[in-house]
Amino acid sequence: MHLEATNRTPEVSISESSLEMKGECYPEDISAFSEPILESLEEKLEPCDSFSVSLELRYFNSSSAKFFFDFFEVLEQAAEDGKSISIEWRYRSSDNSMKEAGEDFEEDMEKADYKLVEI
Amino acid sequence: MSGGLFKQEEALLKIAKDSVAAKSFDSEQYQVLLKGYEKLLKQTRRLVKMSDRNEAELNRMSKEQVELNQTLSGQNTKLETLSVKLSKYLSPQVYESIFSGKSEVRVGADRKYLTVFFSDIVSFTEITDQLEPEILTRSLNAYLNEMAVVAISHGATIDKYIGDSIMAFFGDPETLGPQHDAVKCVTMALSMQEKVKQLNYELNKIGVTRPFNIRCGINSGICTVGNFGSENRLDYTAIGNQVNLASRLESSAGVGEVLISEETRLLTQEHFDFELNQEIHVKGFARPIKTYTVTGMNEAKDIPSNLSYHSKGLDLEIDPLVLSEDSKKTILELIPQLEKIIQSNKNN
Repeated sequence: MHLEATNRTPEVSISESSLEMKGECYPEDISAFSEPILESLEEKLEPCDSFSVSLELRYFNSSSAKFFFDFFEVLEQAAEDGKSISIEWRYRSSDNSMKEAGEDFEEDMEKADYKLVEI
Repeated sequence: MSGGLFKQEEALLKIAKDSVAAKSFDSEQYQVLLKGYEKLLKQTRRLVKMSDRNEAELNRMSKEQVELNQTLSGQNTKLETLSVKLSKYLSPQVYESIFSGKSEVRVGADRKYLTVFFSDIVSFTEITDQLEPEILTRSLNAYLNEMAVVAISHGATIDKYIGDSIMAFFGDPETLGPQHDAVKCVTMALSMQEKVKQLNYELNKIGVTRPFNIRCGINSGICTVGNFGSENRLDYTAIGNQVNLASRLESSAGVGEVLISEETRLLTQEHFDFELNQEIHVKGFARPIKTYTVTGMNEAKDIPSNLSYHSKGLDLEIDPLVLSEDSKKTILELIPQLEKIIQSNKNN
């Protein structure tokens, strides 16, 4: 699955063992954006033993925050089920806002390997 | 927000509603609801926190934008002030051409048909040797100022002042066509001669006892015009044999005379009277150059070059050389109305 970036949504690539997301996220219709991603993520996670995620966001709105809570919950659940899940939350060194958001999401990650990466 | 984003929460709510409807609450259902509520509370807290952070970030950016706008506004004011000062160093046409973006400010030139004008004050060095520096400065500035006003009002591009000499041309960056440009130029030269006579009365009052007399030279032809120099220091000017010829005509002109070339005469003969003058030899020209002295407007075919009246209740600018047929018709239509206005004022 590959979604090109738009003015309001990030570029998204999902393969059999990885997911990458990069850009800004404030879609007009959050469900139309998020549901296919969550469905594809769950589908890819089902057969795999390990899965890596890389997120590099510059901005996301409140609706997208709710999506990310669900997104990380799916990943954490997969880790609890015994899969090797690694997550990189990438943020620009000058972007405190995205750094703090990454730290907030990190609090829910107990089984998944979650790293904050300054770029 | 879409229900899709909250489908887990809605599913939980349905369990709660179904249990209430069935009036049965077992411990397992209660645990599911409690866990769901805890998750919801946690997410709500984080969402509020993120939302507050976004709001703070937006406020910061908004403040930055206001500060940036203030800085830009200040810089714009500075630029405006600077451009007003700069405009005094440039001909209005050149200034307009550059600041409107029509012309690029870079080294480069074009071949254009220009009518080039030179003038200087006869025996200026001798006159000024007898003047105090202060009076010299005042008189020269008064002279150049008056000449610039005449030049600009005729649409000339003032190329440069070299002491008491003036170089100007018609045809770039704006042109009315070779003929109109040439007529404008000769008209300007005659106006300058008249203006100098008036100016001499004023100069006499500040101690310039020897009157200024000017000589003018005019030639028309293809010149190279544009920006010359380096990328750091450009000079907008016209060069070429035709420019040199205009300069030679000026130096060959007699006191109070406007000396023109054959080319300029041919372009302006409908509007002016001329006298054939001596031929001159100019470097770069194989044959001797015929010269003509402009003796005045051709009264038989004379069309005033400009009608310009400005007083209380009256603003009139008519340039016959560029007047369109529509404009002429409009003027004729306006005359009866003007008569009515004047008549009405008389009655009042």
